[in-house]
Amino acid sequence: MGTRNILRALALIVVAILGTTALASAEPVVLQFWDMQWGDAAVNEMRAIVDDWNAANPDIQVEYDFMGWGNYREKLLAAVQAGTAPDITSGDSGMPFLFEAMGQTLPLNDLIETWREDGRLADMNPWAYEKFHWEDEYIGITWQIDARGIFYRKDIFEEKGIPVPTNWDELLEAAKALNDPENEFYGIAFPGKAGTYDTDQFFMTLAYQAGANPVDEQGRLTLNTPEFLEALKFEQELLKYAPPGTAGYAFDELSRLYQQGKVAMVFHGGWFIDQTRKAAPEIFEVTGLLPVLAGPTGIQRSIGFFNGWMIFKQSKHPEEAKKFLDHLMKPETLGRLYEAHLGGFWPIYGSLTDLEAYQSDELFQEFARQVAEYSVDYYYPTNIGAAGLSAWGTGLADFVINPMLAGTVTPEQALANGQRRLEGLFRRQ
Amino acid sequence: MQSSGSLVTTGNQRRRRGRGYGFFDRATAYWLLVPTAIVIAAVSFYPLFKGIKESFFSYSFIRPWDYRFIGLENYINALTSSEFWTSLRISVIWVLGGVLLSYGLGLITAILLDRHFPGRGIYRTILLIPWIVPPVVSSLTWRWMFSDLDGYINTVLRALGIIQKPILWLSTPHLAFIAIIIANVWRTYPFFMINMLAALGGIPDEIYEAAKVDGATGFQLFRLITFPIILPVTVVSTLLQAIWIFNSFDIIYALTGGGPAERTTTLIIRAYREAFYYLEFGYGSSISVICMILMLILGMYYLRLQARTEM
Repeated sequence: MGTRNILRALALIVVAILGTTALASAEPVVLQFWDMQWGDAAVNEMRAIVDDWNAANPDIQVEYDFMGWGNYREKLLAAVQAGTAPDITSGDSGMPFLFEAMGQTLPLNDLIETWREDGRLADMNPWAYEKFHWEDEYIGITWQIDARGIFYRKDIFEEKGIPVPTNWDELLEAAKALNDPENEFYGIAFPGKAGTYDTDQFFMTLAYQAGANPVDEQGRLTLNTPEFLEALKFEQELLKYAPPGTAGYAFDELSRLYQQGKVAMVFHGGWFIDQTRKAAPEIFEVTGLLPVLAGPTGIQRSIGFFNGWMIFKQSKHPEEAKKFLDHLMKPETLGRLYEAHLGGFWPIYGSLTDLEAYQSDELFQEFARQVAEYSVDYYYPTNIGAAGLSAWGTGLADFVINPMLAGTVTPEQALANGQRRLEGLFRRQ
Repeated sequence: MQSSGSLVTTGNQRRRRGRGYGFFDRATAYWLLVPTAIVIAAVSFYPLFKGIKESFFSYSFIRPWDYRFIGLENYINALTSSEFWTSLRISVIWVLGGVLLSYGLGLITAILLDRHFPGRGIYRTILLIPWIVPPVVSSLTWRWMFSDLDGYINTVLRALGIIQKPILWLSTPHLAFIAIIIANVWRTYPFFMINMLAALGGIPDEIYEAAKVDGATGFQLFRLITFPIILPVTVVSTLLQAIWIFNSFDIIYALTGGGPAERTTTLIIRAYREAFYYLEFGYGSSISVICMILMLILGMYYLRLQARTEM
């Protein structure tokens, strides 16, 4: 091969490389967005939102995927370990804390400033952003509240002349009066199965109403307190008026119990409203929502998980990821999701609490009011024990509540076991 | 026999073939194996060695600052905790119960299907379904079947007047354990059925006919002829199934979540919880390694038996 031919070949290679580079620079940025499987309607709406974004933003394309509740932790942890984490993810309500402990969260302070300037922050429930304020950085942002409440049969209460309970004593009295096990009708139903997050939610509702806090000022676990004991003993009392299979029930079983007309009161999530409306319309017509109960010291609290989105520090396109997150956090975008998964997501923006969809039934209106006034999650009022709380998984259900409901341990033993088994997770640097 | 000759390579054939290929041919063959070896190393050996390594470290996802070598501490913690031994006991009963019952059911169905009757092929296919159904589907189906609210089992028992109140299969500690074994037996017996059917098919009818002429009863035929002949297959398939059942996870997870009161928390469930719920990856790995050692012992025994069977 002569010198001229070599030069020609080199020129060709240079042109090819330059061409490839030019083509590559024209390629859009592709973001990976993982969300939880919040239900078919929510997934479809999220898919539509992503499609709309992709159509309007050819330079920033988003690939959306959802994770099942059975294995999302493994999936995310494996991806982070492998360096293939998505750009943006959701997860359970403690996910940003879990990944912050691993040094994997991208601070969102500049986005928070943007939202402060454009007025979104003023419209937002303060806990929605304060919850994720960790060592001067905002490591995530709440986009919806996944709340719980106690539903009841208005017709049966009226028929028996029982007043609607407003505190623990009245709840116990009502459950006792309505319980009719001979005819397989029960006063109250709540989850008790091991290995599920459902179970700790009823107990923690009672615990907060009893004035308990899962961690002390140093962020150490404090299950062995009189407040937790009072809550667990009260749950044990309620068990007398609950179906005998409670220790094996999650929300699925509770839905069937209530919608088959076998129980007077049921602890459930906000999505239960729409679910009952579709599955058992005749029972839906006579369903009411108990007021948020006052505990023995008069505290009124209900559980609502402030579920967040976060951006991974591994993201190769952090600015583009922030742009997309900013779009997701617009009230009009979130409103679409809230309406698609009615009752499953509750608004973080005050301006969305009177969504037209909520006006369709007073249950929605009352639930929205309760969420805005009383809902807190396990990280409230301070997130000092956040890493431990995000890691205790179903420990509270497995070691404390389920064994007590199954009758193998006393409430005192159950709490002592839970403290012993879980306190290691709350060790701090 | 022509057919077996084409499938089974004798030692002499191997030696002849070995001489027929040169060094470069063999080198090429080895190079062609490299991609497969790399994939196996990446997906099997790397996680395995990483898991073993981490079991000697204090390794929690939420305490990365506390990552340090701690020698055998995780193992000592595991072996000195009552929870570990409870889970081991549960695992052993889970495996023994599962293997014995599924073997018994598999053998009975195999003996029945070994007879000649119309529609035998259809029955074989139907009885194979539990083995084919995805584990998640069968687990969720059994969860509904055992439900005390509207489960099929309780509904039938009540309709027949056998029980007045529903049986609390999944919320009573000892019943929950029985429930998961029943669900597992349903899923695993076809494996034994197929193996036993193949073994039974290899027994010549002449042996039975000769024994019958000598006055042997049905039970004697089974005890003195059938069982000794199918014993090698029995042992090997039993060991294999024991390993699979020990490692099975999904059916317990879906039916009971390890409860009630941790009465269905096997070692595998415990290892999973420690690693992925409580994020104590080092401690969870140590339990997994102990499980692996137990299974290796069974596996080695299996290989020895298999070698003996093939001799």
